[in-house]
Amino acid sequence: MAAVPSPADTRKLLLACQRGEPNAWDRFVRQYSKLVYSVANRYRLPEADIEDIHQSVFLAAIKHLEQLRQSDRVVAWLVTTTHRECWRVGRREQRTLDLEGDFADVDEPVSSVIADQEERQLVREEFTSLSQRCQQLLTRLFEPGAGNRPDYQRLATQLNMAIGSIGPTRARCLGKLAELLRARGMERIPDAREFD
Amino acid sequence: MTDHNHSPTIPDPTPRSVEAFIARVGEVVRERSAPESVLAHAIALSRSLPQPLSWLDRATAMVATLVRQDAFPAVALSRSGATPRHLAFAAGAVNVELEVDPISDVQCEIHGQVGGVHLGGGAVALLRPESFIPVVCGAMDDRGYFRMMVAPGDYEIAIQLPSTTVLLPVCHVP
Repeated sequence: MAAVPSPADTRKLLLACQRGEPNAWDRFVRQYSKLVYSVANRYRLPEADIEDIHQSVFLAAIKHLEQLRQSDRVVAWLVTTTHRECWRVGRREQRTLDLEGDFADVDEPVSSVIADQEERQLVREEFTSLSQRCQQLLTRLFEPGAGNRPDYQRLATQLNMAIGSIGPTRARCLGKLAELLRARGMERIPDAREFD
Repeated sequence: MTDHNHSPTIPDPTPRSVEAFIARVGEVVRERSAPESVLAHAIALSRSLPQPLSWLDRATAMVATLVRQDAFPAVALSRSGATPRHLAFAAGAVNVELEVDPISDVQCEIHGQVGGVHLGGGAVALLRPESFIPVVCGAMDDRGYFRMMVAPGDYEIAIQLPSTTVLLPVCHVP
């Protein structure tokens, strides 16, 4: 069974939204925006459509805040809502959607897609828990085009690090991320020492 | 929700390889973010959020205690089949009597009477438990009487009096 974000934390955030607490809705949108984009991108829709879908999904979320607060499956709700919006947009524009075999059901995404997004959401959230240094390093290491052999010399210059410290810092950051994800219940995490 | 995985999944306890873990992290790090303008549009939706009750402070509100609950025969036949109830609450010198009368499967009528204090009118609000957003708002008359229509569900009732606020515990409205 895939791990899911802490329901209690999400309920607190949704309650804060309902209470009108400053920046609560802002935090909710920023926390789940990438999830919506990640799901919508699977359909390879035009950028303008994806932006509209993003707005529609959060409009639906704000209308159903109470339902979301009572539910333990916020990620599943967002994935399903985004999926349905993509289908609606695709039908409206009479596009043949490239479903990649994972969205065979018109009404619902398959459960493995939801499980995948639940795991991705854990990684998204815990990535932001890393130090700024780790986030910068890992973002540079994984950026598109970096490939399997990133240019450590360039990284050292960009990040103002000694070139010899990049490898150990990378290992430390990945190990820390692994620890955080294991604490959140993500399954099958390598031991932190394996990143050394 | 339809589950297309017809075979039960047996969890694999084997840790994934470091390479597989790194690949997963890389996928997520490389995900596209919404442009700031798109985020700003979504964040601006908060203007459409219902406004919380300005007069309800849960920290200082007097929390009432249910002191009596009776079922009573409906004057009119209730299509919902649920039994009307009479509830009595107390909070210090304030007492509140409620009649909860199911009208139909989707609507219930609540009659309330606040006593024990000098009134002069006030406000009443039904809220979902723990919420600050009212589902229904109304007013008491000078004698402390109020009446509201609401869908079935669980509610707290907040009562604004001249000198205090009273919060009734969660009531189930059938």
